[in-house]
Amino acid sequence: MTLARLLHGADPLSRRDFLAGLASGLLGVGAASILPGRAHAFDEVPIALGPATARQVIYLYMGGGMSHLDTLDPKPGAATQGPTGWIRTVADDVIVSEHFPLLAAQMDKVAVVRSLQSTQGAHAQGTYAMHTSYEMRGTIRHPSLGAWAQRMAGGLHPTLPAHVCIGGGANHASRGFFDSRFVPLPIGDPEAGLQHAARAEGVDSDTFTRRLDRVAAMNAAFRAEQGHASVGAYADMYEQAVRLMDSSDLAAFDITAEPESLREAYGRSTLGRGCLLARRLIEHGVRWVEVVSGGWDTHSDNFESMLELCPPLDRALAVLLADLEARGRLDETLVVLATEFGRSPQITEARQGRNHHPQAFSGLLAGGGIVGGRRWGATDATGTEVIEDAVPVADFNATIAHALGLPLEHELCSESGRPFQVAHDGRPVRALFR
Amino acid sequence: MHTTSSSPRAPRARAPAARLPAAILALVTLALLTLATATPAGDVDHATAVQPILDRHCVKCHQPVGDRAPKAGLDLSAAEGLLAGGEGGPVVEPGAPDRSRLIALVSLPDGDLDRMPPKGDRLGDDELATIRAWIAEGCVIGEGAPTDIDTDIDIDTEVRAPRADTPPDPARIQLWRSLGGTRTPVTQVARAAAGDTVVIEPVIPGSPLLRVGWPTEQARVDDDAVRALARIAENITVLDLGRTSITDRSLDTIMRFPLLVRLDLNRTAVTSTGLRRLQTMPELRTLVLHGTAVDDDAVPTLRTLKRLEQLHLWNTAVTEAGETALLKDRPRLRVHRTLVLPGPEPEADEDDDL
Repeated sequence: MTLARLLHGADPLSRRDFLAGLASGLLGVGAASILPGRAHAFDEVPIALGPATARQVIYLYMGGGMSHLDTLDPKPGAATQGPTGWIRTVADDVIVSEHFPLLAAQMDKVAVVRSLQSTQGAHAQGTYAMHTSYEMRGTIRHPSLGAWAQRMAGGLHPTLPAHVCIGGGANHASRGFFDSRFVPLPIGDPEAGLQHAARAEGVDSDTFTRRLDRVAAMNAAFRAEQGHASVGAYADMYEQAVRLMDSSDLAAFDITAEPESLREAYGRSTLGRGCLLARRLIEHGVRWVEVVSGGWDTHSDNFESMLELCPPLDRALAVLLADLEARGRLDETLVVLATEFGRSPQITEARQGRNHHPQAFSGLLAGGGIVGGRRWGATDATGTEVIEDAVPVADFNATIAHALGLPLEHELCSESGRPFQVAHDGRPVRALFR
Repeated sequence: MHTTSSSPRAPRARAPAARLPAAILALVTLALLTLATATPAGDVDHATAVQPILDRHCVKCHQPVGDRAPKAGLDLSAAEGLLAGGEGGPVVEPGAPDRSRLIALVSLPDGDLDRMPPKGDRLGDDELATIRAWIAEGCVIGEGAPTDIDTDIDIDTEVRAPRADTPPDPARIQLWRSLGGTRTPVTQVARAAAGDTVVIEPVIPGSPLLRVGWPTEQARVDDDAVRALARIAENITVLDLGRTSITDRSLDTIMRFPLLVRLDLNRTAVTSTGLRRLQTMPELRTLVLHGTAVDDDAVPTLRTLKRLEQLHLWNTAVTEAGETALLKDRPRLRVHRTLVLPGPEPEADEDDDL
């Protein structure tokens, strides 16, 4: 009988938790002392950052697989283009689909990447790869790029979280093997902002402090006895939450404070509101804000769906870029538009839809040191294959990491001691920077 | 990255460990470390026992065919797909069959719309027991199990040649390097005097040039806080005073920052009169004035800033005529005076608002 078998059955502690505890125990790492804003999970080795052209990131994620042909890479004249037309933009070299008239006017700020490539053709795997640069495995959970940014570069604000995810749910952008401090703060409804951030009714500040002290006293023995990083991380998360409750910058989460005309301009869609909230959070010093919007899985009625999906994106993204620029924020804020894959040029006859197409799709980068008004990479005449300057998912993420000055070669180890890098084996597309 | 066969797989310990007193835990630790270097063999083998069951009942729908993704994004034709799960997340939880969705779905009664498989025979009791046992043992995949979850795309099998073009550093970083030059890094800065919320950091790692800002409680930052920065005047290159309580008096201090490249004064009380102090600042390239009372009287001052590239005048009193005067003979200057917003959305109902 193996020892593992012997242990089997009575167990409240998962193997992963067990190994995490084991690693911290063997390495002698206790509850980490945390510099304000810079949190280190397992090791306290300072991470040497490189020069950065961007300090903050707004990452717009189109869940479901955004059709490149009907958005950023239309193919005039191709039989597979379907009814979606195209328009010129203010950038000579860039056309977009007819559904993006507002973005077309902001294209001087944008580098369209038309040569993205993923190895993953299913949603969960594709989303995972896009966020982590790694393939999904049964044995490890990789951190998302936002968690890496928080881990390596830290936060910019003493009380606001470094990493916020709007509309994505708690598990959308994973902390991976980083500890619980690196879970992004999830915001469900951008209009409602941050929920449950106030003390319960009838609990005044003194009472609340007394209660927290009592909790801390009760936990002290356990903490001292265990001394494991995960225990410390949990307590740190509590502290972070309490600091956030008392933060003078909670107003950052309230988009109703914005002028009505601006709220109208961003649009009433979840995406529009999410982008407006993202801009407020960036202005208040959140490092990484992801805004997630779904519905792009257009297996059926692709063209009718575009009439509903594209206008809110066009509006939200175009106004976001203009708004950031007017405020002097675009030069240091990188705006990213990403999705898990594109959609097939072949139109399914019965359903008028497009299927998954990971071998060639589009995204964009704007601001944060990116040269605007141009495209990078190209697909063939039907948008089927990349024919120029392929950008695998890891390279796209390496480009974002490079803009933030995150060291691409720096390895951080999982609980089991396996080394991982911020963008896996990706190499940045340096030519995109001004 | 992805390989089609013989990818090295990290050995998996199989069963979870129990909470035990520390002494035993230490022993267990050593034992598990030893275990982790061996290849554990479960009693139930994935390739010979589990996969055939999935092949019989599941893979007709749950495998990719050509361009078509498997149902629910769940590929049960290989071990990797089974472990990875589908659109709804993982379907097996190693060590916990009762928490595994795969077990839950195939165990639903006939007639339940979610029962798997939706058509055809349900899994036999012995088949179900086999899968349960495999999950309970920790979902071990033995040697020789298929590892390929891709169908037709494998762009990483080619060795990627290094990119030939490695362009020089971005212009802004070159600027930091050249401006930093021979200047001595500041080791101690007047942090306390500038307020406990001030953040002072190098513009790029190791640079003597500094970025200074107050990320929170900007209202508490006043002219005294700015005056305290005079001690590091030679090093301040980026200064963010947005939303602070400073007045024109701070500009008396700021005018003595010879390397100032980026100055953000948004939503402060500075005026066109105060801005005169900034005349001919040699390195200023970005000036953010949105939400201030600055008007056309500032135009002559702003025209003396020869290196100015980005000027943010949205929500100020500067007029179109002022903008035109600013831009005369200044091809490199970009003035952002207006924020042109699209009209309201058409009245179409939006599903996501419901």
